[in-house]
Amino acid sequence: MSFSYFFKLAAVNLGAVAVGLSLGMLIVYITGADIILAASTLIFAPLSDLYNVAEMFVWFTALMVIAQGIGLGIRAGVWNVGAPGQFLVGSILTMMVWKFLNPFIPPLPLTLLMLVGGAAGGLLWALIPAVIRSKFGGNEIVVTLLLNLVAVSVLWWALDGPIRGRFSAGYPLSDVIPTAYRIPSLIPDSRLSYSLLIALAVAAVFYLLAEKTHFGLQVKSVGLNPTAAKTSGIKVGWTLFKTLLIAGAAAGFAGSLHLMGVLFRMDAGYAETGNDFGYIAIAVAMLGGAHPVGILFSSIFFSYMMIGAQNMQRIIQIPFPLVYAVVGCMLISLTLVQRINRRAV
Amino acid sequence: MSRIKSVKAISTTVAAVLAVVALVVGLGIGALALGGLAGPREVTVTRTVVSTVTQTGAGATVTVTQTATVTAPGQTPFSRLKVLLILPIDEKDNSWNRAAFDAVMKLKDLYGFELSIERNLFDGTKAEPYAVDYARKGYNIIIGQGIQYMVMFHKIAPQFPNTMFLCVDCAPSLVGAFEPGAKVAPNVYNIWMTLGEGGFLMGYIAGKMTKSNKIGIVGGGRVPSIWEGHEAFKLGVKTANPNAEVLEAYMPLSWADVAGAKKAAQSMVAAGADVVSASGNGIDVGVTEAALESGVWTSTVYADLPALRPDIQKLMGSIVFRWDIVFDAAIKDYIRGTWKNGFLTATMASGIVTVSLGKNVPDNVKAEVMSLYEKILSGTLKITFDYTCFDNPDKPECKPTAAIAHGL
Repeated sequence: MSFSYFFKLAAVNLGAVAVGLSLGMLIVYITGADIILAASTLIFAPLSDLYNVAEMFVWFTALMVIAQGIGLGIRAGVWNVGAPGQFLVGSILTMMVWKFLNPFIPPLPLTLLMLVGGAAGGLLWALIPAVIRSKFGGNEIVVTLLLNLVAVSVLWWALDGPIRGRFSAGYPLSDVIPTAYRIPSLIPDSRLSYSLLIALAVAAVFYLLAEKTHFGLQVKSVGLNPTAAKTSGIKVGWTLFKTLLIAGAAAGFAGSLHLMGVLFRMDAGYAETGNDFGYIAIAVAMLGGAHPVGILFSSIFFSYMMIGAQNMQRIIQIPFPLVYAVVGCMLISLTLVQRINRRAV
Repeated sequence: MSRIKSVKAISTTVAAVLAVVALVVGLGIGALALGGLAGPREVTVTRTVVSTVTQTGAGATVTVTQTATVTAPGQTPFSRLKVLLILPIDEKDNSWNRAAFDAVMKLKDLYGFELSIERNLFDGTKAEPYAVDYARKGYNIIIGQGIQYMVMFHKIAPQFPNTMFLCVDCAPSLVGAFEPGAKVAPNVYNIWMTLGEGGFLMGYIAGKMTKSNKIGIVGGGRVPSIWEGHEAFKLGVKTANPNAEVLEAYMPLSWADVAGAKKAAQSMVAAGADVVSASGNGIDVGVTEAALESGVWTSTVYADLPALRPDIQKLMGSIVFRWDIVFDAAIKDYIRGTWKNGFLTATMASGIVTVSLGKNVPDNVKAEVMSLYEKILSGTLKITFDYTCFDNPDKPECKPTAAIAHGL
């Protein structure tokens, strides 16, 4: 943990980014676009003005909260691929709490209750795979993945039923959450709200949970060697159960943060929002080494890349799937170098 | 143990090399980017003027052709414009997106303005950062092709008072209906449209063409504009052929559900329908495929399918929306400075909505349809709707259709 160690770590990661970027630019070059413009946009655009920086932290907020939950799961050796579904159900429950309780409860307590509702929604959606995994030893990856599809159907049903707005002019939309129940804006004329600070608080909670508590130690030992953990008296199934529930709650909480801080309304396109964040968060958690602090940095890296990529798509007009290919190249080379590095150091 | 040591040795070297590579690449890209982005790009307009003079003298004809090419930077107010088109899907749908795409391309050729197109932004909230980014870059006109962009446009428009947000399938009266208390921004140019008139004509052809007396119609989400089109279609069928029965399907919440639309059309054919019509967007693609495979008649909305796909034999026709007329009017209003609170309704009488008939529709049917079309144009034939049926479709007076024809 010396200075030279950090220097080497930074040098290696920077080199990996350069290699990945070159590979990605090779793909862009094949399509015939201007690669110098593409690369400079990808790198400089996210910091070019306040709006882009704010957009970056909109992505950061959602990605980071979801990835913290997934990271805890990875530590225990369970893979929660169900974040998109938990994100959706959390958002739906947030909306339902607002819709049904707003005549009875004043704004401030209700706002807190909505956040709790979001976490509870994600938790409920993770309950099914958690029971299957810990009681029957079923594969949580398959169950969580398939429940994502079910969650989309639940969203469609809810938009036509319980959360359908009174003001939707015949369209399947929810009502807009009024200003009093929103998370206030952090930068004017942007979509960034104080949910960023709440997200950072969540990261701190996850750090304490994973590194400073008895439960964190149990999670780590179950992940390293379940048999040894069982022999030393840890209830493996119960630990996995709790871990999956926490991961679900984090994803659901991210849903309510996004709904109350950024979008304020749900429509059929909300399913796509959940998918955008939920699947990328898996890569974020992996790149961050499943460590709460690592995830903090990998979320910044990923949101930087996503905003750079969106700008790149706008400026050189390449198809969006290509953008994912460029980001993918960087991710592969980073993961590879990280592996080599971990073995060496 | 020795293996691990050797890995470490390589990795240190690799790290050093990579660090150098990273520095060189980073500095190089940075320098090039600064150089490349430094100067603002000039917009040049090239105009070619061809003049031909023919003189006929005693027994001889002399033709003189002169070609002059004029190039000058930033020539007209039109060529200085920057225009963005936001599409929910992409132009390959030969329908809603295609019609808008063709319209802006036509105007781009005419005026030479700078054009950007953003595709696959189905969701209004997803499109918001894109619209804001272009507006900040000084784009003058931002076209959102669909009602999903309406709330977003009215929300961000006050930040960019000099940018015109052109919202298709939107109306100022709907802004409050979507969000109580929401303000109508003056720099959103709203364009409303009617699908009823075209739906009526297509329904009429369908009623004439069917032999099994069963007709299918498949639509996207059950929203007011699509619903009007369907009800008018049923009215058209009833007018042409009182014995015909209409099978109707809406795809839940999705205008891009090609596979679902195809399946719905196939099940209608299986139930005996020999006409399956589509009412727009990706739905058209699925229904056209199903109709081609099972050899039944079909029709589409928005783009001119008889011109785009002359290979389709059993094509009744398309309801064509000439968005270029609409966009042109809005752009001219923008140049004149009379565009604030702009509102325009696309109807048949305004020339924006037309009908394009398939080549194999019998001549007598074509003649009948054209006479109905003329009646709509002249205003003698009007179609209205009982809007209470939208929420309560099972009321007896809503069967078989909630559309009412006046002056038939």
